[in-house]
Amino acid sequence: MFAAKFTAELANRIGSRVEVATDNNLIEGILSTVTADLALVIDVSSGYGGNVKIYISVDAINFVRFPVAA
Amino acid sequence: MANLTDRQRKLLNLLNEMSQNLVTSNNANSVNNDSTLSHNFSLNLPGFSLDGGQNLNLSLGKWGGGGTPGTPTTIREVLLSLVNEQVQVTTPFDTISGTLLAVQDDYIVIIEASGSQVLVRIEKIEFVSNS
Repeated sequence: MFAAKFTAELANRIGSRVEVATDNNLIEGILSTVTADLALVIDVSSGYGGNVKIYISVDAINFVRFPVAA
Repeated sequence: MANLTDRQRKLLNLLNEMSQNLVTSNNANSVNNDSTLSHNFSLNLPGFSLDGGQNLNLSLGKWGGGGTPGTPTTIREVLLSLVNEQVQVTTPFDTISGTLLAVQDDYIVIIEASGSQVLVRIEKIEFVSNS
């Protein structure tokens, strides 16, 4: 049901809305790309249509939440 | 002592001799202050710990040494025993509460009360409780 590795499971969920928590930050956006070391989240919450790309080190991630659609 | 092998018996004898030597040198120190050994050295025999913080795994048979069977030794083993139960998992950022759905190689899956799925990296888990 779930992939054995964290990055493999994230890769299966590309395109999902996510909340990524690191030790000190919470990043919300759309999961765009996942490699062994990096996760790319497109921040769509900042408004202004900027679509800021946020590259997150996988090692820094505490957890990733997949909120249920409102 | 009857269940000990020759090697284990010798090791215990050596340790006994060492402890006695240390006690004698302590006594000697109190007389001869020229020694470079510390005067304040203490040997805590009643709570005698063979491993000194290292896991020597001496395998002393009935005396233990391998830990109580059934006692988890890693956080992953703790989590595996809590699958399908309500848990609280604390990471540096926040505590996640919900039903533990799965324990994989390097992460766990929790379903929160809201229905959200959370993938938590095991490496980042500080402590777990069965809420």
